[in-house]
Amino acid sequence: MQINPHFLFNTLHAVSALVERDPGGVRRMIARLSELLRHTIESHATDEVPLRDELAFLRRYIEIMEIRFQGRLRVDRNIADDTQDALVPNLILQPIVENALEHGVNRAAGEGQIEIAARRDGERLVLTVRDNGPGLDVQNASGVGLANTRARLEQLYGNRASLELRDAEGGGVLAQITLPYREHA
Amino acid sequence: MPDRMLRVVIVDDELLARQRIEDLLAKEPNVEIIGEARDGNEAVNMIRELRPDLVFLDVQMPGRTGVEVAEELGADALPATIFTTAYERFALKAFDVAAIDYLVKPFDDERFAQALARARKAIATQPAPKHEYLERISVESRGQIRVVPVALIDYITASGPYAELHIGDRTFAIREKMQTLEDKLDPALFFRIHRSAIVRLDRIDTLLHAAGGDYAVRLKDGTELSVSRSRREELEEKVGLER
Repeated sequence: MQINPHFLFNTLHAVSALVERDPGGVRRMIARLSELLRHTIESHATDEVPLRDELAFLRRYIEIMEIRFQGRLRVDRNIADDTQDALVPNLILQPIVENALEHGVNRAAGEGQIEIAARRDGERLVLTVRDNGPGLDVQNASGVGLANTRARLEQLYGNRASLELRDAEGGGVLAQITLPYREHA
Repeated sequence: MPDRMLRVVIVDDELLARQRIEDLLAKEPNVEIIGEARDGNEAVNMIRELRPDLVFLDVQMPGRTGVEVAEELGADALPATIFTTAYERFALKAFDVAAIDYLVKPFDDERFAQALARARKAIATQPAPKHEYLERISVESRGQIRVVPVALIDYITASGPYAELHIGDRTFAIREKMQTLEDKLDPALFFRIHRSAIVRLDRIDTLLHAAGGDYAVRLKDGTELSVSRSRREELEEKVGLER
């Protein structure tokens, strides 16, 4: 994955802002950021990883964002047990969550919420990221920022995988990735 | 001369980014943060309403970007602006809209101080903000409120604690103090010649010297009004009389 330069520099700026106010938080952010950078530097050759690894990576990213949002972000996870070993494209979820934060949570009135869910649907794995922002009509409706993600899914799975964004019931946007369910042989 | 008080608005979608600037400004003398906005639309409204001297304006925000905020406000309504950006690619565009400076995040304290000094300098050389003078006065006349353009007033006299406007051959009592009126009227047009009188300068016809040093003006309609000794010299300057 290419690390988003905005994410990198804004995170460093947040670190800079917290130096005096919260030294412990600063050290946590530096540790998490280093882990993310290490992961992206070392893992470029890997196409697919078990979902549990992908979620572990995502947790580090989310911890950084929780500090940046300073209590205005709540993340819920709803991961079915039988999906933990499923293979997913390496670093597939982070851009989806980033998109949800930028276009959804950032514009939500009050506390921003994200729900990350994974479930198995027969021969398919379904990953969803839902935010509580204003919905699709005022945000990037076509998900142009997610073009890379679509291209990657197509390259790995052809027409057996998809990424869709739609208005979620009860508000916000639901991003859904569907791909063939597979585990390591 | 001490720096004049800077009234500052901070615009950034990220709380910590706003705090970073708050913390830096807290160490500076003569700075007052009068508002903070979280997105571009809020920024446009706040800047229009509060008319700050200086704005720290984030470029990348949801909704309207900082550059779009600047374009929406236009060159006339845009205060001195320091753009902040996490990604230099946007900075060049920021300079197209006449930024004082731009700060690339993260920035150090010294670079921030440099930008602020640059802003102070630019603001100090700006013409002083134009004072808005009174253009209309409302008066009560026969139970109705009438609005009188200031341009019609010939002179004003004290009446108890308040004042009377003289317009042609009519007189209107108003509930304003002479001092308030003196402050609110454009000094290029009106002059307080006495504790009890303000005249419109272009209504003066003659300066009258009486024996014993008394001094008065005669207006074009024939009205004569006394001039205080203490105001005489300034009045002569106002009407272009060299002493």
